[in-house]
Amino acid sequence: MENNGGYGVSLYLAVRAIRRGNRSTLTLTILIIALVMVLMNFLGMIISGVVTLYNDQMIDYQYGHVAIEPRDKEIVIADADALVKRLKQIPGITGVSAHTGTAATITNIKNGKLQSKSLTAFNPEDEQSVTKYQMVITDGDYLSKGDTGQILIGTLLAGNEDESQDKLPSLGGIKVGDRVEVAYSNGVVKTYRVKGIYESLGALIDSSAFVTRSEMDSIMHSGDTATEILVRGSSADDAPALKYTIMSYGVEEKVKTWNEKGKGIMGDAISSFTLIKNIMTFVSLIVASVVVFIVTYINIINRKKQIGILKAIGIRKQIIVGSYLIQVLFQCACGILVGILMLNAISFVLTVNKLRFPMGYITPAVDYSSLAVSIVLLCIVSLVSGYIPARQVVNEEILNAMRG
Amino acid sequence: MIEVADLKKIYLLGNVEVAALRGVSLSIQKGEFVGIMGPSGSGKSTLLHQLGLLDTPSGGHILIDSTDVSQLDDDARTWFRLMHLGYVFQDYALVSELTVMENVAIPAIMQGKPLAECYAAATRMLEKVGLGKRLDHLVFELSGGEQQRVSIARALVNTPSIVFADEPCANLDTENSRTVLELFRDVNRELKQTIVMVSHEPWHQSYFDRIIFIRDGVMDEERIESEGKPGGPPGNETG
Ligand SMILES: Nc1ncnc2c1ncn2[C@@H]1O[C@H](COP(=O)(O)OP(=O)(O)OP(=O)(O)O)[C@@H](O)[C@H]1O
Ligand SMILES: [Mg+2]
Repeated sequence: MENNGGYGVSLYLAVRAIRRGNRSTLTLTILIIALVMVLMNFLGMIISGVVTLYNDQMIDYQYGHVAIEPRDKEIVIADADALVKRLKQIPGITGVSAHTGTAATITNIKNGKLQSKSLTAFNPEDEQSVTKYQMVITDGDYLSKGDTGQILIGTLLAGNEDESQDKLPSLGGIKVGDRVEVAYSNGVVKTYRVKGIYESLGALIDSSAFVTRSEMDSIMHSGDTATEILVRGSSADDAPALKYTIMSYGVEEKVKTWNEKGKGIMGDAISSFTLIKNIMTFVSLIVASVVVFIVTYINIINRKKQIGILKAIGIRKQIIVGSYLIQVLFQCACGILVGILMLNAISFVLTVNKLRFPMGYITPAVDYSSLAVSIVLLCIVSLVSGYIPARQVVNEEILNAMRG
Repeated sequence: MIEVADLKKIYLLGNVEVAALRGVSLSIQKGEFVGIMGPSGSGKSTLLHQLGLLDTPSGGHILIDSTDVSQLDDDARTWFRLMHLGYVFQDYALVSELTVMENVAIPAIMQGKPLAECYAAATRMLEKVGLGKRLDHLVFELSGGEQQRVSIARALVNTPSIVFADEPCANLDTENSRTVLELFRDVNRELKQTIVMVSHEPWHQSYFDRIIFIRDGVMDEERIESEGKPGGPPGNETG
């Protein structure tokens, strides 16, 4: 260590105080700071897990990366097939699928239970390139292009014979091969064979039903129109860029990214979550500051005599305060480190033993940007809480302090 | 060289004024080994604290090496203590988290000298007080006499112009007291070190070049006149 008689002396004193001071107090303080760190970040970790999961599901099952909707004042996209063809040629687009949705009432013929749902039609081949339904078939098969009289049903809509096991209102236990009656909005009623059942784990997604576009056309005469067109690009983050590319190709329909589509529903939940998280952060910070204050205060009161001695032999006040601040920072740094380790351990445990949420299993993720914020806050709070008692004791008269 | 003129210290206990020093004037020459003696409560410690800049007097002037130290502000006093003064306290006043060598080195480190130089000076000083083999011990591993020798080494490490000692032998037995006093006498003779020491043990008088008697916060002029040759140290019985 080079020495210039300044804050180097603070460091010199601090290092020795930490090395030869009370181990159990130090350990306890570090542990408390670590726990505060965990408290401040745990909820955020869960929230970001939920958000990630929700986003993934929105992209993988509901909107793709970009969704194209009818122009203002129009109900459908006309010339959908031509638009799909054009979109497929835009560089960066890896999949395009046109959807036609309509309201329908589905009845389980076996038991007469019925549910009103929106029934969606897609071209199964196109759909594969955008969404993941064909990958989550739990029973039976995915739709194929020419299918007529066949329907794909989500597991929650299919439900169980024992109603008490249902998570949402269902058709009371539909199995592959069962027959359901679909009453369309135009009055046509048709019986379908259940071809497959899928399970994405997303509550909303798993209570829907799908038929092919040709099937829908045969009933609703929807022809070449679509209610929306989903587009998949290279990544979720590139969606805004993709949106502008699509618009620059002269598409006049409304073009929205998955994020713009999804904001409304989840946005409120997330902002409530964030509020709770901020309250928790605030309370945790108060706990941290009180703990650091008490620990430093007791520590420094116990060493009042020592501080008097140091002052008597000519050590400047600022240097003594500095040595206590270094000790506080050291506790803080260790606490933060242990806290990060704990958070990662929790995140690991929760990855192995997954948490089930309405939209499926979440994988908690440590959010490093809010981690950074909590580190800065914790350090500031600790420094202030360490500074106040240190300053107070250091300002005592030498002889009073030396009396102990 | 210390010059004191009309030094006063008044403590306020609630509404009651306690005059601990009531106008003391004296001068101490460079290289003198001065004893301050007097009855308990007479103001010996108070005087030493004022001279050593550990407290602020209520009135009067103190000149140390022609600096009027009563005019200095807090930071300047701290700096003055570090650069020019050394202290030995009755209860040793060592820093428990530092080793013997670090305790002695810390005033030198604070002066901004290179660490190696500080440790070398500390080692030299500790060898002088006979603790050359205890450098890396912690303070609590030492006996009271040894701790007091560490504190003497610390007081001397920066070769201050004056060393102040307030009853440095009060907690020591005769044997250790003698060691400490002889140490003081040696550095006083060899290094021409000015030493101001408070004591109430008559047998310490033989070590002092001069004695300042204090009674009720003033100098006891009569005793300075009348007190002749000091008595020898006691036999086996302790303080
Ligand atoms: N902090 C203080 N507040 C109030 N009164 C004090 C204070 N310190 C000392 N005194 C008073 O000042 C007087 C002188 O005290 P001082 O400590 O200088 O005596 P002393 O000569 O060192 O005595 P001893 O030999 O017992 O150490 C005493 O009457 C004491 O009660
Ligand atoms: Mg005294």
